[in-house]
Amino acid sequence: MSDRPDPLPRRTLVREILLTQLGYAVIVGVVALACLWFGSNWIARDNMADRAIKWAEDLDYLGAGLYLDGDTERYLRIEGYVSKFPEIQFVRYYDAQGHMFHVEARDNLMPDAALLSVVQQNELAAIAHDEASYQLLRDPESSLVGISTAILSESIRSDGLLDSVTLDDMQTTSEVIGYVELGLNYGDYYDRLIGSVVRASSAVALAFLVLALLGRILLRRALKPLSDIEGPLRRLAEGDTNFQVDSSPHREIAAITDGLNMAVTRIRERDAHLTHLANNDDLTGLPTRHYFMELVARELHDLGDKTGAVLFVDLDQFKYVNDTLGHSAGDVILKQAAERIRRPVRSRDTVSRFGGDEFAVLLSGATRDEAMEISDRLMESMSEMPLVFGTHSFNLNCCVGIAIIDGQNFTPSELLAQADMACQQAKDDGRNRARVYEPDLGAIESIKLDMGWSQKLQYALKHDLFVFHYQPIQSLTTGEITHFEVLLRMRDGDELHLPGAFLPAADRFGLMRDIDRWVISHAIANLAWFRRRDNEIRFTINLSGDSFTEGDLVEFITTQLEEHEVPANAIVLEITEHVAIGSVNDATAQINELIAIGCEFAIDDFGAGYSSLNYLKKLPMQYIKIDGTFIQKLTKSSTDQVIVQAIAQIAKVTGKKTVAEFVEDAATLDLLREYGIDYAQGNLIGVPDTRIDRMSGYPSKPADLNSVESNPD
Amino acid sequence: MAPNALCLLMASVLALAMSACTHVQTDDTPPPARPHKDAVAIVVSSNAPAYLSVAQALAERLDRDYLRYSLSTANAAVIREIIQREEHREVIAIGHAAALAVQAIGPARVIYCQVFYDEDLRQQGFRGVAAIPTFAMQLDHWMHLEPDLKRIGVVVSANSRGLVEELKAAANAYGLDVHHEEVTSDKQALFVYQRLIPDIDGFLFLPDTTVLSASVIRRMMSYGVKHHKSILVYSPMMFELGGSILITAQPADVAEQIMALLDPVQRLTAQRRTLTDAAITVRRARQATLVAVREETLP
Repeated sequence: MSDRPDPLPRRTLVREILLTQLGYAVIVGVVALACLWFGSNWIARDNMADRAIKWAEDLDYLGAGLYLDGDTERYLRIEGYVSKFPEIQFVRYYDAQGHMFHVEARDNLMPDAALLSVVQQNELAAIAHDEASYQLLRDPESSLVGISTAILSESIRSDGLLDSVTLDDMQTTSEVIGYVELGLNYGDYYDRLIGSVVRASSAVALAFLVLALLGRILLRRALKPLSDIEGPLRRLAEGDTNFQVDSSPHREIAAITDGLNMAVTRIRERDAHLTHLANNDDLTGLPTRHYFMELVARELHDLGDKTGAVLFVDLDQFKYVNDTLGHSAGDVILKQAAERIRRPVRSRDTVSRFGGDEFAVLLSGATRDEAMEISDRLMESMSEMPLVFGTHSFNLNCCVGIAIIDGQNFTPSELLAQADMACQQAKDDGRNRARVYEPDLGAIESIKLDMGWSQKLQYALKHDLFVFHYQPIQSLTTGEITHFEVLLRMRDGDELHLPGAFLPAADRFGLMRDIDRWVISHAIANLAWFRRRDNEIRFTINLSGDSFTEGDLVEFITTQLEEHEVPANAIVLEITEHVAIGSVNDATAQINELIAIGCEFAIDDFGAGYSSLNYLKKLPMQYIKIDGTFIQKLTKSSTDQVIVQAIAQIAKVTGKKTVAEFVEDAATLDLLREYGIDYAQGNLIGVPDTRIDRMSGYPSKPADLNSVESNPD
Repeated sequence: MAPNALCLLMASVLALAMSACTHVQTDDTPPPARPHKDAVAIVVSSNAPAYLSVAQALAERLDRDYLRYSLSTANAAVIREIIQREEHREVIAIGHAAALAVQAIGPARVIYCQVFYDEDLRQQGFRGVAAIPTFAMQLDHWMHLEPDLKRIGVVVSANSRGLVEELKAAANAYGLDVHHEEVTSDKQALFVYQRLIPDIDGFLFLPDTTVLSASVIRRMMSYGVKHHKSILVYSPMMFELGGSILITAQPADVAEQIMALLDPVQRLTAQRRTLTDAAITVRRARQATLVAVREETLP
């Protein structure tokens, strides 16, 4: 999945409101224009009808001259009148018998329209006395309109002027004396009307456009407080909480900004809390290794022409405390030690716990002499009075390695490696010592080599460049190969590195946990593939103490087993004594959970460290792998023989199986059988190989093909 | 009215009411008990003041009995029948309708009055009294009121040619130029009138009803007023529309002329007697009528 934020949606509130407004305006505009069009059309028609009637009346009047013999201008008047009104195409006059006796046409173009029929004349005569005494005929295919009316003559009864009091009282008689017919063409009029409507429509549309633009500006101004929140919201989405949004005078916006500010404050507080949890050690409250490295990097960045120092502090004899009084006692002592380390440093300096009994101190802006002085005070602080746990007291010393920060020649990791190396040198010199790292060519090369390993390991993890070799473990009782120990190799070009080459660097650079997870997941996947052919195959898998620090080991292993359908009892997890006795936080609890689901555990290299035979009675392990140093010279060393026999007997009594490593020859194997050792592992039994060959004819598969999960066949 | 005449009228009305012709009513006299050969029958076209005033004036002057009939209460046939049954020898028809109603009554002598166009009646041998004073009299008054009058116009139908000739003769004596236009319809009358108006000083509104209608009269009057022309009219309603001079007959004069025609001696002197007196009404502020007159625009 891409980390890029989703592109901003194209829709905006302003645009939406504007579109709504515009849509509404368009609808109103269309309705208005439609009303304008139909209204003007209706008015025009009405007006044209009125004008047509007026023209008919006038021409009726002017036509009176046609009946007067002495009127020499009778035709000119009609022609002049017709020429004044372009709409009038022609006028025709009919006598009382319906015979057309005069026509006046525009431009002397005789009309095509048919003459009034007898039926039409009768109809006109019938309505001659009505209020609407006209007939309007429209040609639907053109803009031609015809209007015709009967010409009436009225006269008053002979006595009318004497026997009436008012004009309205007079009795009149009337008769149709002819007809007048007009042909009208409203095309030009309608063209002008349409032109006017188009101009009016354009003006209306322009007005709407101006209003829309004005509305956009006003809306943007009105919604600006809302738009202003967009930036802070985006910053918040990107994880930036270092801002405060100005409150708005608008009630609705103010509610949003206040809520946003409150959310930012809460997130900031939660971030601070989470950062504190992530950056500080649970036990001592001191910064963690990761955070310490950040601070060193920051110190380097802000160094300028100053100097500084990184101290690596390693407690002497702390392992003894843990081994003798247990984990809780170790925790108490570590807390007191942390206080002692913190005491002599300045307020601007930083003390960090790296894990176990390792501490580091960043002396900000300190010179070499100041660093030496603080180191001395630190060692004094540690040794001046004993640390106490219950009735027990301990005089703990520490060794301090000092790396001087002078310029930006080294990275934080390199500086820490320098301090670590100086600390090791101090330890080599004896207890309660401090030593400043003095760079020589070899050491620099060593550090660079270390840094090279770090990069290679990370690259190998990312690109699956680790390879498994499997070494068989034989049951000395049945002679059968029952387990294979999964041994890790790292491919580096054509080279294949053994764990001793890269695990120390992995440990120093905090990569052990990631390597363990890689090993667990791939080993279980490969085991699943092998078990489809031989379901008796079991793997022993090595785990470091770092696997237990996160607390999620049980869930991870369970998930892998379920995913690949491998039973839990098909794997044996090998851990060191240090992990087994609980010196690592919560390791015991996690071991017990894994045993509960069916996994088995083996103590690796038993007898090489602070092994206490008493632990054999308490430990929940099923297997004890006797350290190879006791086996390699077993046939020649009577001491080793006694030790191996003792371990075997105690293990037998406590119900644990024993595994002897480094079995190189048959004599050793015979002795191991004699001592009752249960399993043997070594070159005599089988050298580590990428192939598994538990018995003759067994199909094997190169185990470095990590695609085994997806294509087991 | 003399007592004997009153009794005669009441008896006649009573007789009519008792007869089969129950539709016939006289205006205020009882039916006669027997035919009134010597009684004068007065027939009015309607109860219009122009007729009743003459009937009244005549009644006041008659030295014999009379019966008065009105076409407003009985149709012409009924009235004719009554007149024949009563054996009236002299009938006075007031108004053209009344004259037409009695024109076919046998031996009775018919005298008409208050008829503008009497050509047809005169052709039938009827005697009568002119409805308007002589043109000489009219022009005399008009000239007196409008000294600058030079050209006058008339628009009439062919029926009025006789009148127009009289007018021209009279006008000639006064040095007036008469513009005469003959038309066949009211619309033509209006058309010609509107073209005539600019060329004349006054217009004599001869009441030729065959070419006049109420609407045309209105428009002609308003047009004349608009052009500040002096208009001589014979009808009070036209005068109200803006006429300058109203000349009407005096009922007493009309009655005197009828009495003259009833006289056996004077009767022979003329078929139609002219009026000797006239009522002249003059508009003092002619423009005052403009308010009520619609503006007319010549197409």
